[in-house]
Amino acid sequence: MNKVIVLASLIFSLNALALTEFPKGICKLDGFIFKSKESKSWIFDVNRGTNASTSFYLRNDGDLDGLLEEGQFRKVIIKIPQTTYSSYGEASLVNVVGHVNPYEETKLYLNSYDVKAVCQDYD
Amino acid sequence: MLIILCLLICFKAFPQDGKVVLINGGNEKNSNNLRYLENIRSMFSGFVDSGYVEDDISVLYGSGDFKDTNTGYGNPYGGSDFDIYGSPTPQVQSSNSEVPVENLDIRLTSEYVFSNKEKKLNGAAKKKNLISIFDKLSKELSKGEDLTLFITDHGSQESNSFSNSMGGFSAPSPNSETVVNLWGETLTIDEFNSLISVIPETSNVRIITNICFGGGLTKLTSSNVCVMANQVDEKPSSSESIDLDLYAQNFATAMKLKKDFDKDGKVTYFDAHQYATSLDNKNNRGKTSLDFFIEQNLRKINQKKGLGLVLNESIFKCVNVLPGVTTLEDAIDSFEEISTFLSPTSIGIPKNRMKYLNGRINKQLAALEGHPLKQKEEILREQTELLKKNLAKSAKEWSQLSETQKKILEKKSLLEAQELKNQITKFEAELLDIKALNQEIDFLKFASEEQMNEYKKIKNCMEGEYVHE
Repeated sequence: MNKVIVLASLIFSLNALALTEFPKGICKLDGFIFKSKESKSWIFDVNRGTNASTSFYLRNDGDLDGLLEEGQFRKVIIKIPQTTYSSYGEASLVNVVGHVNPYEETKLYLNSYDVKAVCQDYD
Repeated sequence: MLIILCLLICFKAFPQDGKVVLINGGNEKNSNNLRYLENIRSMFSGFVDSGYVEDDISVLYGSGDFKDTNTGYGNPYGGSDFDIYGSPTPQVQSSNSEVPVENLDIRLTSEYVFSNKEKKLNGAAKKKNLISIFDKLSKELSKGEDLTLFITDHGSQESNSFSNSMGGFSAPSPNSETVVNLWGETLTIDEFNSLISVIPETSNVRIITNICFGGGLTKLTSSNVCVMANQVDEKPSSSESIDLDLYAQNFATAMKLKKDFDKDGKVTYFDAHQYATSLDNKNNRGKTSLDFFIEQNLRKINQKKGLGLVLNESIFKCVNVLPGVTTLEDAIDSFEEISTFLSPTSIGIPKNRMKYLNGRINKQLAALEGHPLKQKEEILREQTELLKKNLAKSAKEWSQLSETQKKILEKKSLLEAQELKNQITKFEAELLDIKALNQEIDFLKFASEEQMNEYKKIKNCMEGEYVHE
């Protein structure tokens, strides 16, 4: 009987959100930019240091080396081609918008509400 | 005969009573970080070292195949780019240090995780497997045998409203609940509760976890269910790198070394939790069922404290009639003297309840000797406020700089800001410790017998002494 109750409650439960989900779309995010020594890729990290840390491998038609500088906290606009969960995915760099104020708390994107506030679908 | 008995105990000839389930959900391969595998490996070894036989330890891992682990190597984007957090030197060596990086595949095998060719995974971390294991354990657990769960994984927060299920978005509210990510699915608090409900009430269910928002699982607390998490409800947990999580590694180390952290002569799982949180990443703050239970019961207790305040006011009115009190200053001095006497550090905690103060609190009380708790709290609060004002002032000044100026000052400002933030984090942690201390003392002073009985049961569940001298 107990088993039936457990099964029933599991079947009828709400679907919960999994990790931090960045949907396909354009997002304006605060994070850390650096160049991987190993893969030579430019990487944009958000939620850095937490278990929701997400690394976006940056793609761009132009020369990223000429556009980006190593080890900087920046606000950037990226285009995410497909839904990405923590820990990594890829994105196109649209623009570097500006510096992140180092004296303010680093922004974290931990749930759908945080993400919805800074992302929009481009379709 | 006695010598033989002693030898049997020393060499763990008596297996530990109870069962253990180790769970890593992982969600999907990219999210299933190598540290989760290392955590499962170390905890498995820790439980074996603390006396469990391997057959009594069930392991549900990700997809059910160790190869579905994100090693950070050979990922589709190339290279290892993950050991980059630049965290302080870890307190423990990564348990995988004996395996060279180029032989990483060795780690993704049962032989590596269990050090025993016979031991196999019990399946994927899916709800159906959890149901079947809990159902099996509900029949196997004898009266008084404990069930200990260790959950390492990503945790998420679910806004407790229907809008999410309809595809909408709602702001996280105080009602937001922690969910455990399994392989491609999630487990909510209600679902978890249903799972546990099949375990007989004669068995304690002890949950140890390092998931993000893990403190939220303390909502499962009951007289036979207790939780020890390394992070509070509202924060993500932090780890050192893709393959190193300090809490789980140090918890396992504590079990291996049989640490009596609070020096009370008993080696317990709560000792291991306290040891692990004391060495954890400073962004994490542990939360246990005791914290949850005390929080929940403080409303009633505060009503009693309200009566205490009324008493204080009456004392203030009365002090000016005391012998030797002739001026207002004398009256204030006498009032302060009496108030200090009534402060949490000096007010008499009923003697029969003193023994329930755990070692952590005893240590804090000893450290605070001669410094009234309230005074220390006030100083810390003032210092924290001052630092926050400085930070806000600097933030405002920074925002007014030109982009060129920002570029020039960036490195210096980053260092300065980090230092300020670290200091604030340290002071806030101390403040929270004092708050928790005050809360527990208040609870012990004023709790009813019924509340005390419940408190003892939860404490007993968390402790679960595993070394019997």
